[in-house]
Amino acid sequence: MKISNRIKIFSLFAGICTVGVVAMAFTTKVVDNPPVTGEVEAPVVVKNMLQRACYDCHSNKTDIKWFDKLPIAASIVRRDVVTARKHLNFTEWDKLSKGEQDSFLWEAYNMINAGNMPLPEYAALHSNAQVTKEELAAFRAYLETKRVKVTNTIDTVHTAAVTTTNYPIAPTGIQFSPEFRNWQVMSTTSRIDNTTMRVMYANPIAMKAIKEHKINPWPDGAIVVKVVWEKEVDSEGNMHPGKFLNVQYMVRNAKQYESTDGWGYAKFETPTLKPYGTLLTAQSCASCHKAANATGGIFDLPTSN
Amino acid sequence: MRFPIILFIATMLTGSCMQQQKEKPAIRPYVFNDSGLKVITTIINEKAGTVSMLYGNKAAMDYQINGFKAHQPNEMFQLVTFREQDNKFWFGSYINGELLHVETVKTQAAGQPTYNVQHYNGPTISAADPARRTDFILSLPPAFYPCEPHLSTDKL
Repeated sequence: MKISNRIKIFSLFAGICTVGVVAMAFTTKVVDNPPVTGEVEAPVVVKNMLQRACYDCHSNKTDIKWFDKLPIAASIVRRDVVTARKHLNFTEWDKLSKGEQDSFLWEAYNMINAGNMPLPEYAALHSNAQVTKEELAAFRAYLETKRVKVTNTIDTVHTAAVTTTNYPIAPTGIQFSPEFRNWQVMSTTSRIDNTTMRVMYANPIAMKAIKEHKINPWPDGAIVVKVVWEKEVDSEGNMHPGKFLNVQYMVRNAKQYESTDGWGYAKFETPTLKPYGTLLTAQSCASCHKAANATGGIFDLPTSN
Repeated sequence: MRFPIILFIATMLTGSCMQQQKEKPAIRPYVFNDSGLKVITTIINEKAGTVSMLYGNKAAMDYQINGFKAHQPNEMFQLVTFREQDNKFWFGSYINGELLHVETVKTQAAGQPTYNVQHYNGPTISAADPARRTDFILSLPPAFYPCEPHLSTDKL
């Protein structure tokens, strides 16, 4: 009789919990859907893919499933949607410049191609969010039509270089230093999603890590510096570094920069080396650099495969 | 009811494991040793699908970067040419690939600068080209670096 009462009480408790959870699943409001101001434009296959795989987080058309409303899940979903919309919102597309729109499309492709988006845990629960090879190929073909042509000819008149030794400091605490000019070149890249060319330098710690294949994770103290110019074309069609744009730093310190995956970010713009952005900007850098997970967050390593 | 929750937790855990199990990239060996030379500029030849980096010793940098008006003896320039390849980690970016050749130009106290080329991969530069290649290498304007004196417009 005693055992039977316990079972009854337990059953009642379990029933109440179940009803509560079910009620939550149908009534909890995880996020609002603000008005759509302007949607991304792309070929049908690409647009359908974006709507199916990306819109739940990166738009104001979030479709919340019942299991997204469950305890714990709801708070994770809310966090993901808020973060995603802040970074990129396909239904507030009109708020971006043409250059920003294109830049986000290239980023979206690369994040999907790297397997970072849709988030693996999201895709596992939302089977229709998987991006097929055909869709990715269509996305790539669409971006091929957006290659940026370099038209600037060699005529940049450079302003005087910085002569001070009191170099600027970025919000992340990273100070510019011309020391990188003595480091080994890690790589050089030419972009077709914009009109820039770059040279990457690696300090001795970073270069040793590359040569010993110890870059996952990179050792503390590794520094990679990227110098960015606009491309200029000469009369024979060769591209040269023209207008100087910025110098970017990635400084490895797993503990100090834990919130940005162990890398500290800094960018110094124009010949006066004006520090760019805020601490929040570094979050945005880290978010994009997740696409280079295979190489510890560094994009520009020459590979032989 | 429990199934989605268990599945959710399981996918959160396996998601992070999956990230670490991605294909390991094969990083291309660094064949060229700059031996302390500094980068003067970078040149991209899209038609040939190559990218070259021009390096110089101190005397070369004095001419190129520090505004010396005439060539001095013992300047050494090295033009290191790579094949351009797709950047595996960023569609929309080309990156230097295999090393094709290294051309070296040295100025002398008198007479023509010396020229030689070391081939690693790719087509051989013909013997008739040295004078033209020397002129090309010595005519390249330096890239603007924001932390050193710069007079590139004098040489354009």
